[in-house]
Amino acid sequence: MKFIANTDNLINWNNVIELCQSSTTGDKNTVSSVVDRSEAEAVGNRGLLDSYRKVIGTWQQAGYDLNQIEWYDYYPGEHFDISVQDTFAKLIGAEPLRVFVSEVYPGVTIPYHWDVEDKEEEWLAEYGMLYRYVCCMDVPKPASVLMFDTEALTLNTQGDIYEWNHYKDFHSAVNGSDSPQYYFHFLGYKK
Amino acid sequence: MKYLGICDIIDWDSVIKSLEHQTPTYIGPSHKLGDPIPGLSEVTDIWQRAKFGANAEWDMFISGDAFDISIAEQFMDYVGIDNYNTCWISRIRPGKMAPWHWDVNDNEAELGEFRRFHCHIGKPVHGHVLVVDDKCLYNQPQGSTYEWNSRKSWHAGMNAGLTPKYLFNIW
Repeated sequence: MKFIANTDNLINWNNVIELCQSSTTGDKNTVSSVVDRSEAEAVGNRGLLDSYRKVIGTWQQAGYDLNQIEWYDYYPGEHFDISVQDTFAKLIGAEPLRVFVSEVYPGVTIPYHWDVEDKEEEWLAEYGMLYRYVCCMDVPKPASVLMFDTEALTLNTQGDIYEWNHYKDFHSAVNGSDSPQYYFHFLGYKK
Repeated sequence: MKYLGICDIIDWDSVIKSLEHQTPTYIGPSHKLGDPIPGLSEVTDIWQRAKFGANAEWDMFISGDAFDISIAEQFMDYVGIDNYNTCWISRIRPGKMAPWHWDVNDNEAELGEFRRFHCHIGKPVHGHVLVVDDKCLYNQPQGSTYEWNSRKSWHAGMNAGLTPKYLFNIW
């Protein structure tokens, strides 16, 4: 993972967080909702569905209570201003394909997984390579950690941006703090 | 927090194996809101505000009960202390956590200062993490040993991995 920059004063993350927090239309993700959605979208794409099932199968095998796994997603242009995405894209020098803010509540763990992307093949064919970034948009919170295979992000300065080693990197998140944790995610391509 | 090195004088894999199918001495958290223990409200206030649910849970294996006291004695030799008050191995199962807290003791009012240590007895695994004060301990080699700044340091242990996370603790 590579540190890219800090958004400094270019983006008012507290404002974005406030908008997400007060929204009642965020995308609630649970294991069952992800499975239902993937089954609907995976018609004619057996591999995609198998990928979801494989990830969830590892969680079941590890003993997770699947009912305890949930998180919310919020989207630019819907839950917060599209200019946030545009400013971010300009800063990192990439074009957006999938952008969202994730919200994880206290006491929740998002287990070891990779983000199965239903448009992956289409985008790879069109753009060659995909790039993934995460921005620590929230203020530092103790016991809130985003983990990759050998590195972890916690207590970062608000606005810190990291580029993933690979867009399909396995990752996980935990929130042992007393308030929800927010991350800004950006999957895109370079011109 | 001070890094002390790799404690490899103990066969940690065997210790873990001996605990895998044991019933823990008890399952935490052992205290609840309103228990009359000095300092406890500092923790329970946060936990109540956060509304931690069933995921706030960990297993406790106490030295002399769940594992041989000689393990604690060998570790004492390694870190250079002559006695200890409490020694245990914590286990956090996948999806569980010990959220942000400090270890409030039943006898908190009578306790003085003690040196506190911990050791990462499992092999490094994705999703196993310990945060102490402002230090995030992740991907730690097996046997990595640290001395805490204070017995009362705030910390959290969490497991978003696929296997149980074990940690040796002594003070």
